[in-house]
Amino acid sequence: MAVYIKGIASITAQHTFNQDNWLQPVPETALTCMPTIEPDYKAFIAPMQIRRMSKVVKMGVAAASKALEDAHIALPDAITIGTAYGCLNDTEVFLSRMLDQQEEMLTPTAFIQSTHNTIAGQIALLMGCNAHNLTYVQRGFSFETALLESLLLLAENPDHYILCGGIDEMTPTVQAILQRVGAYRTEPALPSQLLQQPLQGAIAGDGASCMILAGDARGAYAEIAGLHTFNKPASADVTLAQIHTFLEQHGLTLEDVDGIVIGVNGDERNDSVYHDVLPEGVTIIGYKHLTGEYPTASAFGTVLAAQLLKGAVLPAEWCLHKAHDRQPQNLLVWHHYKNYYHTLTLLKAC
Amino acid sequence: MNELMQQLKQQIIDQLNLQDIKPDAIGDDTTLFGEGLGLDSIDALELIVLLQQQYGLKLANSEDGPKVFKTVRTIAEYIQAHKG
Amino acid sequence: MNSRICICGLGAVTAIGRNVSENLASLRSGKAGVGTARILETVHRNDWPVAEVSYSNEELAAMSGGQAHWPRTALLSMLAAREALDHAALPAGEKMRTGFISANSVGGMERTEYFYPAFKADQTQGATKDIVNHECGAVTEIVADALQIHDFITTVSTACSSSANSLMLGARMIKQGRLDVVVAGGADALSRFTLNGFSTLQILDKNHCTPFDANRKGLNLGEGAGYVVLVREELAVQWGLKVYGYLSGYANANDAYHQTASSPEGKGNLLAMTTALQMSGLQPGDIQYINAHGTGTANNDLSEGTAVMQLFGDQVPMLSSTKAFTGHTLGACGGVEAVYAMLAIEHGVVYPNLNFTERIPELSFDPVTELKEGQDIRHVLSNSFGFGGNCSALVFSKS
Repeated sequence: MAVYIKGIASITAQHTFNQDNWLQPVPETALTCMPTIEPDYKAFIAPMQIRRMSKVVKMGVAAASKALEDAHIALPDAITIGTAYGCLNDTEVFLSRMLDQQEEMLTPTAFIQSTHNTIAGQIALLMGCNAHNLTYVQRGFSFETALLESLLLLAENPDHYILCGGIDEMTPTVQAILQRVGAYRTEPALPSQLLQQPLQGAIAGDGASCMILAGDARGAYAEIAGLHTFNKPASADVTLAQIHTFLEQHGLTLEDVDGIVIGVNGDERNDSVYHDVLPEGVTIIGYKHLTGEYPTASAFGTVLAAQLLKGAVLPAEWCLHKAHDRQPQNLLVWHHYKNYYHTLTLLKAC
Repeated sequence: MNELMQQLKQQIIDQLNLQDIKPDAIGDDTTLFGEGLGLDSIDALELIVLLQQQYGLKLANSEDGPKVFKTVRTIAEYIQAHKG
Repeated sequence: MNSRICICGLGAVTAIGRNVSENLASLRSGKAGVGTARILETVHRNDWPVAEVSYSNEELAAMSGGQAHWPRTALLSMLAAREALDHAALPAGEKMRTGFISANSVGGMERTEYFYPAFKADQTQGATKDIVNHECGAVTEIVADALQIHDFITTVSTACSSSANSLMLGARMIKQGRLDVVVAGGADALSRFTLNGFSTLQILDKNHCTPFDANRKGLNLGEGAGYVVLVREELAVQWGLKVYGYLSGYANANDAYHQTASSPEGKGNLLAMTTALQMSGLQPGDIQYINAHGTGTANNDLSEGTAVMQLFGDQVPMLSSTKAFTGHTLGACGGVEAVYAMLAIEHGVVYPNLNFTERIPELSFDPVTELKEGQDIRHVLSNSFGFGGNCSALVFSKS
């Protein structure tokens, strides 16, 4: 059955939340972590609730609320969220107090806010939504699991509206840990240079992207024509074969899709997986050099693709290679995490 | 007593992260839970620890909580009755 | 595709047994696993009894084929998942798309607690091996790799309902033709983080817990892992697998009442149970046994009991909580109790709800307090309710 993206909202390090300044350039500086452009959360959350919420919960609630508003839906029929890191700040607050105070005189707020399902749970609580509610936590496959579940739920209930999101926050401590293990760079880099000079490690970031999925095409941004996942491909040839087979099922080849949205992030171990496979002469769109790298950044990649298919104009800094001038009718969103988890999502204009 | 109540108000604001509220906005006799300030059961647990950390007092019975934490004044009275 | 979801393998490790048959023997002999922590290093060792798996990480590694430096959650997961797979005896050499859908709430936190103080003092300190598997998903990934399951791997984290939700996703993936076999369930190890966290909520019992008792004081934390092997029916038949039963119904709802407490009327609980029954095509009267969430907290047992009464009226079937045996194993409990539900069906046994003396005044029923054997158990309802309002219910049916 056909699935459509009916409403979207994204909070990232770029102007992605409001339509009136959408993707307007942000003056760039050399950094190791992209600072998030956050909305005024008070427009979405009352003071008595906001006081307990960390950034990740606020981002999730705001993005979820805006996506629902965008889709003209009051309450979704299911909420499914992917978050790899969960509530890092509250986890650290509780952990460090526990250790510093030798397990004495601890208070509950940071603990209850630290569980991964706090984001989806708070969204449901604030909206009074009793529907199906899930949180997936599989590294760079967390959002993709939520997206896959959304398709499964819609196949059972085509008249439902599913709120699906990918949300992660970054903290100084976790950034330092990820720098130490080589996932993030220690030397600041300019976003515009990042992909030209891939090294070991990406630039950090965080954000929240939510979408409303339904079986109804009216007013939709795009159709999700297909989603395919595969793990641990033995070689670039295997990856290419997976992509070809997937696209063939939709009457397309890799050479004739209107564009491919990929997760290159300036880490050459990550980027080479894409470059080893992608042919010449295809339009390539990247986003992680401008949002920073975090496990659920691919949720924004999907939102971006949907917006482009509805006619949004892509500024040059997001387009890594432009092969043609035509308005895209289809876009392949390809995301991998450490060449372990691969997801292919085919979006079509509708 | 007044000084204690003022101090308590600031401590409550800090402990419960009531960012937009000034101490003067909390009346001495404002109901803290449900109506009034609108605190909930998680806040009650936070206040129990506040009492312990700042005043060295442990509630003998957690069932006494609603009575003790009814207003800033009742908390101050409890502290004065049990300190020293 | 209307074929049924067959359950062809079971695996479990808890404080009452290192495998399914030890667990069953303990359940039958009334042998609970709650006591003083020996492995978990906490200043509160003598304050809060826990249901600790009585093997060190090194011993768990040796038993499971995992590595001793893995987080404890991963070792427990490996032990039970491997048992479930061995039990299913899937035919080697047959092509099958296999998924590993696990769950946990604590991930590698028990190792992180060692890493963090050293790192905080000096960012060049702390052993990297203690932090690389911190993420919930990392724990699942290392076990999937060791089990050589590659096709589909993911992790659910919805607090105490986590591993029940794993089974639901697994069933959906099979029904919609994306997978053929799923090892589904979850694991959680004890950690100071969770013990202290629950302590701040004042919902721990300083004695052995008393689920569904009028004077209940709270829960005992536990640890463990539980997995079932779900197989598409046509393949189970084709391969001649033993089918222990079916996952005939499931549902997930949200209470949307409070971050950690359930609504007094158990709204989310009732919605999950009702919807799961509807999916199974069964009536309340078709359920012979309810394995309750029954943590022993003032809030859960009353809400759950109230919801049960609303659904079953004055015909509440046999009901018990097994958490006085295993403690509350958090992310693992849905999986562990799925195994217990299947054993109840297979062996015709209903487990006693330990430590019960006095009925909760608002409820109309007592839990089962004596072991019952020789029962005709055709359908079991298993409940798992968690923080964040996450409520899940599973219906298991006899084959």
